Amino acid sequence: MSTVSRSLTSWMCRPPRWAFPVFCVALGLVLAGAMALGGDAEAWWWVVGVFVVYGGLLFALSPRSEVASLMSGDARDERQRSINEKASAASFSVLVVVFVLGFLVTTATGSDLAVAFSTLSAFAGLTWVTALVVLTRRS
Amino acid sequence: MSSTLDIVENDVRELRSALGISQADLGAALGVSRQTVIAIEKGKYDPSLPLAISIARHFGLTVEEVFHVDGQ
Repeated sequence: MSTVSRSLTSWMCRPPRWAFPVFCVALGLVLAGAMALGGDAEAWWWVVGVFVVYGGLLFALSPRSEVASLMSGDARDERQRSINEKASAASFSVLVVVFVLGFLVTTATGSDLAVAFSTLSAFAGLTWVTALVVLTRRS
Repeated sequence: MSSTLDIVENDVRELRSALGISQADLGAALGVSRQTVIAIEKGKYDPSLPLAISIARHFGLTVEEVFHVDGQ
């Protein structure tokens, strides 16, 4: 591995602290751009403001709070990575329940949203199966 | 009977105190956070085998001299 790619890998695994607030601002600008394209240009400053405050708050709290540090993507060791993985798995489980319940309710009520919920459920199922196949082959 | 052993306690806190180093110093030496050292000392987190070996080597001991399983 070259020095450049090694440095890039290291940067990706452990980005500097300033990367998260910058990412938040960039995400806010992208979202504001999408809203502007959708004809909701007046609220762009509000969206950017929320992301700036969110990024700034986590940036300020992350040296003192492990939760804030993890929320800003800074998992420094095996325990923190394990916590992150368990939190992600819990989020995925809740989302799957929401998707399936949403599909059942919208199907029962004859709503057009049933297609969206079934698509999301299918994506979740495919992601899970793909992850199982990849992870069992890797370990 | 389970084929795996559950770590029930460890001597990390005592060993660290004997060396007179802080949790942050031990964390820095092991490449983990201070919170992870605290969690290991309290027995709330069982370290992976590589980390357990690193901890034992840091104190010049074997893994089994630092980490104890039920009834041992």
